[in-house]
Amino acid sequence: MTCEGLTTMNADLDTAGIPPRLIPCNDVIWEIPATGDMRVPGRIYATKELLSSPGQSDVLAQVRNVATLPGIVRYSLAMPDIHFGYGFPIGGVAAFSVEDGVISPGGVGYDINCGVRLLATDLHREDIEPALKRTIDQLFRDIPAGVGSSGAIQKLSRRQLETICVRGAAWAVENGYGTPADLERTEAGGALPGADPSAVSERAFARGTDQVGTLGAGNHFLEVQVVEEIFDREAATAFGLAEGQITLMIHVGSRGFGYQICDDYLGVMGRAAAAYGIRLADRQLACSPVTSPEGRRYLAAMACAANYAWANRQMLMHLIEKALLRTLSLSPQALGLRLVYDVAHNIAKIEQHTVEGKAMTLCVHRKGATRAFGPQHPEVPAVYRSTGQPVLIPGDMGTASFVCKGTRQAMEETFGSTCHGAGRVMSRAQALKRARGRAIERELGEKGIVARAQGRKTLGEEMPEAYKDVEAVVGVMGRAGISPRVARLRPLGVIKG
Amino acid sequence: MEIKGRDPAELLEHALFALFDQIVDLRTVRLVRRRTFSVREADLTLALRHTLTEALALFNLEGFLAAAAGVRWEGGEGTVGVVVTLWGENVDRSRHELQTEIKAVTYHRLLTEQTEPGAWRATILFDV
Repeated sequence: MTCEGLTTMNADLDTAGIPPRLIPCNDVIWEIPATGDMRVPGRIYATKELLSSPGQSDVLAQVRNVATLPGIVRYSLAMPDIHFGYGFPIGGVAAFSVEDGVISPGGVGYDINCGVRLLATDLHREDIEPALKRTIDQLFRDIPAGVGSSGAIQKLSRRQLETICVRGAAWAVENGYGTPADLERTEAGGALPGADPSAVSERAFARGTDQVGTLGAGNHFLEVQVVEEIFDREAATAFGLAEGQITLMIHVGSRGFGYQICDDYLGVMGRAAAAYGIRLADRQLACSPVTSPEGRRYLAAMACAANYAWANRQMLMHLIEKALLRTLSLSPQALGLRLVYDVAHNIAKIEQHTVEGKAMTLCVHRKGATRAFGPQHPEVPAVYRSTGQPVLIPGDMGTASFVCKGTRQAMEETFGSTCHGAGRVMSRAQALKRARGRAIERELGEKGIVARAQGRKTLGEEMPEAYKDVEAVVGVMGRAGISPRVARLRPLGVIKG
Repeated sequence: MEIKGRDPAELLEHALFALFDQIVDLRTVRLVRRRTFSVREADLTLALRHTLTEALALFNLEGFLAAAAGVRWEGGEGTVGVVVTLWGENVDRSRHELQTEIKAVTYHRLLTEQTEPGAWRATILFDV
């Protein structure tokens, strides 16, 4: 696809010091031409309105910086939920040739394998509404959430933790927390290969010992939802979704275990980048060649954290089922809780992609971006293979979340990647200021949403106005042919840390 | 966050207050335990980050909350060495409402500088 010229988007971009030309390819795709140190162009998926969100010029500078890294292939990509991150923007995708490219912890994020799990039930809205408040309260009691949350299961031994590092969600299934079918419907089967616990620090193990099965804090959540609208009936049927059906969505990652691993390797990579003569536009772009000893060790440690996160979400699914069965006095068969899919949106993976007709092995960094593999891809579960991979996009707690599907066009244009959520437009401090004097819990209640949060400030920090319009974000990727909508899910209840 | 101090030691002390103030209301923390650690880095900026990271680790691994801090400078050729003493207590959920989960002390926009004699400034970004 070629892009016609446009001189200037707006003055903000000029003053941020990025190139004055932001070229529209169409109404949802823009390019920053490769100039100066950029090795490839930047490509941004957004509408003009989304590009006008506060802080976008700083974000586009980050897109430009990523494009300077060695071995980057085709584009430094930005999804429509893009917002400011550390070094790499959040909502960015960057693929590097394994032969001569780099790997960067900043391109994955602190919360390694932060991701989303969608559960379906055999319940409908009318089954749960009379017991909604009681159900949310039970979940709030039973699911450890909040700062320093721990204690879902007894403290894990070092040996158990090391097994989780390697086996991921399979560890949970093997210990009675789920079924093998859950692993088929989890990205990477719930475990990345190549995990090596010896690449993980003692401090990371100490942080991870009692956090499996916990929600944490911040923007992590558990939602009870209803399928409000189906856009693609065939795909929805394949995914097991129907209007009026009750679903649950979990958003969480690798907790302190993953944060520590990222922190440890940012230090390692900072020294390595200098040693390999890699000039960094920003210190948090610290990286080393993928095949270097440092690169290999980070990949091995990152895989440990990713697998921990999958075990975490598998355990949370088990705890949720227990809570629902108790509150609703149902049998497991009547509840019918099952996994639709589980995706990562902070991860780096070694993948095969075709680039300008040539097969390449790439290290694809998705930081706040979701995999969206198309039909017939061998990594899509057999049950979904004719449809394409389910893509799970959580919105803010007052609006909606979406189920979308991956496409062949995503494989061709974005290394099989799409957006991951709504994207913040306000910092937590700004959101708290806006929330002053307001009762956010009551405002959500007036929309029919029961909200519970451990932290006094959480609901203010996470208020809907702090985020972009998720409908607009998802709409961009649909119009671009990358990940069209399958269903909209409306929140009925939300639990946050 | 932007931190100020009259000298580098006070700058680090104020940064430690800023860290723990994100986590808990410091007025609820009693000074009943003392923890001490040392840090040595190539420069003040890295020493600042390392100090905050070690303090955060005390919270994450032991549940230790600090409401008072003292920083003592140590000598060293071409390096910055400090001994940090923290006074506080372990988390008591009946009294301490934990407010913000700090994932890490980032390198992003990390800066220390002397703005004028007797005035130092630092910027730090916590990932929350």
